[in-house]
Amino acid sequence: MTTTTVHYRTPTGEVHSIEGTVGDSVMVTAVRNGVTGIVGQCGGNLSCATCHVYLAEDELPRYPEMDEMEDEMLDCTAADREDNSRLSCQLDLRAGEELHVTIPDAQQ
Amino acid sequence: MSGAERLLVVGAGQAAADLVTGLVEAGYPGRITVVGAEPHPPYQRPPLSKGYLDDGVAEVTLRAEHYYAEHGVHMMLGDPVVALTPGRDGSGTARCASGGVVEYDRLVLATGAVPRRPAELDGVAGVHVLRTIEDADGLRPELRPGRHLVVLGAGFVGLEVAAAARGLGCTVTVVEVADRILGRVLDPVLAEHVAGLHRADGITVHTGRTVAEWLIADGRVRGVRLGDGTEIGLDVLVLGIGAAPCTGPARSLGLRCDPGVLVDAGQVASDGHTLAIGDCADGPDRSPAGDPTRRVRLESVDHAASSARVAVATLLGREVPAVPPPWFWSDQGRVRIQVVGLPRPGDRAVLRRPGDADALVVGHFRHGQLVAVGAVNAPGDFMGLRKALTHRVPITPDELRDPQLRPAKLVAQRLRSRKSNAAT
Repeated sequence: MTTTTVHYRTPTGEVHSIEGTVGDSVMVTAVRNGVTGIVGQCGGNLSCATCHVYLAEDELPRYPEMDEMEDEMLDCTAADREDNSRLSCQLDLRAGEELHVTIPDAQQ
Repeated sequence: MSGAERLLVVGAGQAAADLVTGLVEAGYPGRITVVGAEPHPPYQRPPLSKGYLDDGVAEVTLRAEHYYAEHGVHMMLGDPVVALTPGRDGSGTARCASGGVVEYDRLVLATGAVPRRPAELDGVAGVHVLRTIEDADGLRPELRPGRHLVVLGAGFVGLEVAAAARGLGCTVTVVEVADRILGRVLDPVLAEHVAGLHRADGITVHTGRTVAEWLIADGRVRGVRLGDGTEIGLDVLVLGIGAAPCTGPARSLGLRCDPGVLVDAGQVASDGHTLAIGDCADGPDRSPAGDPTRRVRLESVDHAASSARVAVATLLGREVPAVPPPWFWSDQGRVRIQVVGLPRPGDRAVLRRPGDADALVVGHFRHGQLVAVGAVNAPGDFMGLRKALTHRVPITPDELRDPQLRPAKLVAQRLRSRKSNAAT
């Protein structure tokens, strides 16, 4: 099983580096490892907007443009939306590509 | 009590997982043991009646197993509690099927619910319910193209299975005793809209029909005879007729149940010590404009999470946190339903047609105030309106109805002006 590292920065500045499975999402990796602040209530169905993260600016171009649904969801997140806001259920882990995300101070 | 509090959680589903995580995050000083009847660590049930039926590979486990070990949480899985013996002040002893004994100072019941199933279908092949991984694994191989599936009960689970089976090429008939589908959760206009979408996808939906007789041959269900005499032959029968809360352990302790374990605003049961969370608990109505003296039982991921969060506060002696409005979702093939709040008969229903023909939103107003929203294929509108309810941002019926107004924008504007007013 190929793995890669996701670095989760909490609102207080702590960094949790988690070894995740390639193909899993940033949300699932957080939930499975008990990373606080990423809820993922709907399990990744774009129904809840509780897995909001800020993705490192230089890592944004790795992913295709978000679809309309994610865009609409991000308008309703608990913490303010920024240019680098994404729903972490839509970000998959890829071989050889570490990720850096910052967790907002509220999800609901 | 000497030493750290020994906390026993009976049940290992979503609510138990959320409770454990909440306690770990809050630095709970006690020792936690979780006893579960199912052999799996806590997992998500919603995908079982949706994507999991398609491919069987959807990953449903919540926390990885190492998470519990790392945080000193003792998991006893596949070992149901068979007896609880109360001691003093909420303490007691639990005996498990394996013969194992767990002594506890404080007890949390997270026992969930079991699907209803007519006794005459016991031991009959071809009959399925859907709650556990094993249920889904048993049903999936039966959903082959061309087979005829009959779903009894047009609630969320029944319609999810119906849509998944239709997507897999089955012929699907849904039989509902009430005069409309989704009667417990959706406004009639919205429910009719959903029925129309399912019919357009080739699912036959019968409402207002009872089953008079199960047609069983050679130990396998072959059909149903309806109250009006119609016979429907079938290959597979799925029962989606609701679930009953598991209150055996609670009743053995003498806790009041009706039908779920009755709990107060802190999730505390009638003995003043034991807590109950998730599907097994009937708690105060915390919905917008709800009546907190009324007890409601909510079977949802959201309620598992909210009740666990409240229980964490109670166990730590902290103030009970505010709970966001209860919400539910259901993905039925291309039909995405989202509901927030608890609509009641007598609410004024206001329709919103967002433009897309498959989409429809209903806002429920009580005494002029928006209290609940149901949405079909309109997740953006839904999220905006849900945010309005969470933050008590007023929305008028005219605003809700206006397809040009985006609820998310309106709510964001009002929250901003509320902030700047508070600042001046």
